[in-house]
Amino acid sequence: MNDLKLRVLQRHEQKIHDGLSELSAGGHGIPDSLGNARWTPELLLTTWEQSEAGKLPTSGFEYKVGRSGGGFDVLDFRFLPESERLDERTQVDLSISLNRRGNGASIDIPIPVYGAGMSFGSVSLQVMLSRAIAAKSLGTFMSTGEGGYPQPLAAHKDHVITQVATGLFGVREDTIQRARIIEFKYAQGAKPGLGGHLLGDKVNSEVANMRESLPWVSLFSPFPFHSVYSVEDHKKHVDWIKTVNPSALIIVKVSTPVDVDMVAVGAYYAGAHILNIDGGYGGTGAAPEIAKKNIAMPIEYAIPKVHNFLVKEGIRDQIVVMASGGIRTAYDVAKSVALGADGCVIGTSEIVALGCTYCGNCERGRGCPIGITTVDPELSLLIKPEWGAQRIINLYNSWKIQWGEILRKLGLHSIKDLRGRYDLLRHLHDGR
Amino acid sequence: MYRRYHIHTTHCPAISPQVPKFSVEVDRLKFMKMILHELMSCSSVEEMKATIKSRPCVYGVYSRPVGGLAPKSNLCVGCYRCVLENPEIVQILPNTEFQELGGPFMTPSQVSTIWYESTTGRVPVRGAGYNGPFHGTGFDSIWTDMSEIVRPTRDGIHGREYISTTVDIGRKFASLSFDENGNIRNKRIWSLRIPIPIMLDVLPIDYPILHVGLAGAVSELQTYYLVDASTAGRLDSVSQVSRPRIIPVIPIDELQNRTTDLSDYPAVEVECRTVDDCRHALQVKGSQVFIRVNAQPGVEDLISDFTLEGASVVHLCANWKGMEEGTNPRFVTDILRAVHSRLVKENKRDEITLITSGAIVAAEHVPKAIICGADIVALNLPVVAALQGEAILRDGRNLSIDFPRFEESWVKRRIVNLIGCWHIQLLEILGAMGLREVRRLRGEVGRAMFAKDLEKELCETICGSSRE
Repeated sequence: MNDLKLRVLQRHEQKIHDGLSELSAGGHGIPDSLGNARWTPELLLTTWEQSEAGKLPTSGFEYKVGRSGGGFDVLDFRFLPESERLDERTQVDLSISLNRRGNGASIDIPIPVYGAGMSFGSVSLQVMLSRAIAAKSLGTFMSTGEGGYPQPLAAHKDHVITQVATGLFGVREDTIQRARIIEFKYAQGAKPGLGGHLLGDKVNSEVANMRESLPWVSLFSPFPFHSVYSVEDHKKHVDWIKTVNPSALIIVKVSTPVDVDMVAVGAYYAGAHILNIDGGYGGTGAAPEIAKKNIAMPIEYAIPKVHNFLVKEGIRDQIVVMASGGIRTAYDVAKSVALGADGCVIGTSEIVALGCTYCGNCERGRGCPIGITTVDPELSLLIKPEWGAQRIINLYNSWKIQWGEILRKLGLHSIKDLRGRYDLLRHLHDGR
Repeated sequence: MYRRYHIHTTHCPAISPQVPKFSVEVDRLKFMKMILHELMSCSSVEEMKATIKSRPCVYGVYSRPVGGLAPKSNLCVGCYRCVLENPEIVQILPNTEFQELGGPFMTPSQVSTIWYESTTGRVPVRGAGYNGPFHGTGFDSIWTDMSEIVRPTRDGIHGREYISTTVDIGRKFASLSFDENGNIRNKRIWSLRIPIPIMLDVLPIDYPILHVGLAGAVSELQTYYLVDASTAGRLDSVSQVSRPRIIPVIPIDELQNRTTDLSDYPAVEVECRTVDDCRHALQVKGSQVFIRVNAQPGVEDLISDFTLEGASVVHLCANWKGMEEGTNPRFVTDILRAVHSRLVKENKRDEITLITSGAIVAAEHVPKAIICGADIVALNLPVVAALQGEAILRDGRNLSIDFPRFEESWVKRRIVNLIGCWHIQLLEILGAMGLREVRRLRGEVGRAMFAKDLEKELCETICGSSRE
C-alpha cells in the first residue's frame, strides 16, 4: 500500500479509536440501533470503556447483564450483607489448574479464562497476534481456531493452543509438537452438527495456502470427524495426539446436545484433560441463522447438567470443565463458575474489545469495516497487534477487579471455591 | 433412473423496494465543517484528493459524489463505523417502517428473512452469534438436538449421504390382508407422495394470477396447493401439468350441492366441524378426502373420532397467529403434541396423516412442527410475505391481503426459491441430528429440548439449594 493510502487509512483508524472512546464515555447517550437483546448497546459501550481504561466503567451504563430475558440475565448472586464481606484489600486467588489428571504437563493460568478459537481467515492475522500477545502478557492461552497455525504466532507458542478440527487445516506434526495444549474441536455451539464455514470471499491466497485449498472457494468443513464414530474412536484420536506430543494437554470441545453429560463422561474416559462445552448462543464468523438459534441448548442449562453428572460419576475433580458460548461479561464468567464450570473460554468479548459493533456481517470478505473479521489487505490494517493486545489486556484487568469484588462479597478467597455453588445464585423469575 | 430430489433456485428480484432496516441521518453543517477541517490538515493536494474520496462506509452508503450530504440509507447494515468516526455528525436510527413489517402476525426479522430467501433461494448465513431473546413462546421455546459423535456419515446438503424428506399422505396400515385372489382387502389405500413435507394452504383472496403462479410453483416442487373450490373451478389457465397439484377445499355444507366432478383432482379437502360432517365427507367418491378441522379445545378427541370413522388425512388449522379457538387458547405446538400423543396412546398414529397450518412463518418452524407431531405443514403467511404482500386484520377479525401487481412467473419463482431454501434448512436440522429421513423426526420430542423443562431443571437446581 502506498504512503498516501496508508496516511488516509491511519486517519480512519484514529477516528475509530477516538469514536470508541467518545461513545463509551456516554456523552452521546445510548444509540438506538446499536446492539441487540444479548449484546445490548450498554454492554457494547461498557466493554469498549473497560478495554480503554482497564478498570470498572464509570459511564453509568449497565455492564453486568444484557436484556435477553433468560439465562445469565435472570441470574444474580446472593451477596453477603456488607458487614460479613471480606475486606476490599483481601487478596483473592483467581487462578485455575488446567490439568487435574496427573498425566501431562502441569499448567495453571492466573485468570479463569482463555481465548476461544477464531481461525485465520475468519479473522485477520493482526487480530490473532493481538490475542496471542494479550494471552502471553496475562499468562493464559488463546486458540488458533480451525484455520491453521500462521507462522507469526509461533513467537507466542507457549500461549497458543493448536486446534484440530474436522477440516484438519494446518494440522501437521510441528504444529502439534510446538503446542502445550491441543484442542479437538468436535463441534461448535453456534452451528452444532455442522462443520466450519468460511465463505469464498474470505479465502484469499494466504488463507488458501494455509488451508491447502484454492483461493476464493468456500470452505465447509465436514461434520463430524470422519475418523470418529464412537467413544473408542475418540480415544484413538486422543491417543494419536499424545503419541505426537506426549506432554500436551488435551481439550475436547463439544456442543450441548440433550446428552451433553454423557458426552462429557465419554471425553473423560477418552483421556481429555479439559472439556470445553460450547453453548448454543456462541459466536461465529459465519453460520446458518437457523443453526445459531435452534440447535443445541444454551450454556446456562448445560453447565449444571455436566457438573452434576460428573460429580455423580465421581470424576468431577479429575477433569477441567470450561464453558463457552454466549459468555459476555465478568459476571457471566462468575455465574458460569457458580453453575459448575471451572472457568470460561472467551471469544466475542475479545473482539468487542477491539471495537466490534456486533453488526453481524463477519461472513463477507469486506464485511467488517473495523478490520476484525476480515482478511482484506486494507481493512485488516486498521487493527495494530500492539494496540489490540492492550485493549484485551485492559478488558481482562477490569474483569479481574470485578471477580475480586464478587468473591469478596460472597466471602470467598478463591475462584475455585465458587465452583458449583448454586446456593450463591438466585433466579430472577421475572427476568429484566 | 433414480433422480435425487433437488429444488433448483434462481435469483428473483423483489418488485417493491425492500424496506431498509436503518435510517442514516447526517448533520450537513457539521459534515461540511468536518470536511474543511480534514482538508486543512492535509499536507498536499494529492492527500486532499485522497481524503475527499475516502469514505468510512464499505457498504456504499456514502458512495454518491456528494458523500455524506446524501446518504443511501437502504445500503446501511448498521456497522456503526461512520458513527464511530463522526459521532457528532452521523446518527443511525431504526427505520420505523421496517419495525412495522409483519403486522400482527410476523416480526420484521421474519419478513425480511423470507424476502431474502425468496429473492436469492439461499440459506441465510451470517456472522456473529444468535442475538435474539433467550427464548420465547411457541416455536421459540424449542431447541432441536444434535448428535455429537456417534452418528452415520452425513453431508446431506453437500451431496454425500442422501437425507429423505419424502412423506406419504394417507393411511398406513399395520398389516395388509388379502382375499383368495391375492387382492388387498384393506379399504382406502390412497397414498399420495410428496418429496417435501410442505404444502401451500388456502389464501383468502381471489386473485387468479396468484393462484396460477402458485399452481406452477407446486408443480415444480411436486407438492400440493390447497385452493378454495370455487376458485379451483375457475382456474382455466392452469396448465395440465399443474392441475393435478391442486386440491380444492370445500365447506361441508356445499359438498352435497356440488355438481362438478371432483375426481379430476388428486384429493379434496372438506371443512368439517363434527363427526357427522366427517362421515359425510368420507362418502365422496373418486378422490382421497382430507378432513379440514379448526384447532379448538378438545380437537384431539375430535380427530381421534375422525380416525374411527375412517379418515386417513386430517388438516389441523390453527389461526394465523397459531392459536386455537376459545377463551384460553393453546398454541399450535401444544395442540399438535396433544393430538399426536392421543393418537399414539390409542395406537392409531400411523392410520392418519396430520397436516398442520398456522403461524408457521420460518424455516425452523417446519422441523419443530414435525417434532411436535405433524407429518406435513401447510403454509399461508410465508407465501404472503414472499410475494411482498401484507396481511391486515380489519376490526380485529377480518383478514384481508394486499399484494403488489405481479406476473405468474414471478410468483412461481419466488415460492420455489422460498421452499427450496426451507428444504435445505430442513436438511441442515436433520443432518445435525443424524437423521436420514424426515419421517423419523415426527413426534420425536425426546430429540428436542423445551425451554419450560430446562428452565424448571435450572430453577430447581438453584432455587432448591440455599445458602449454608
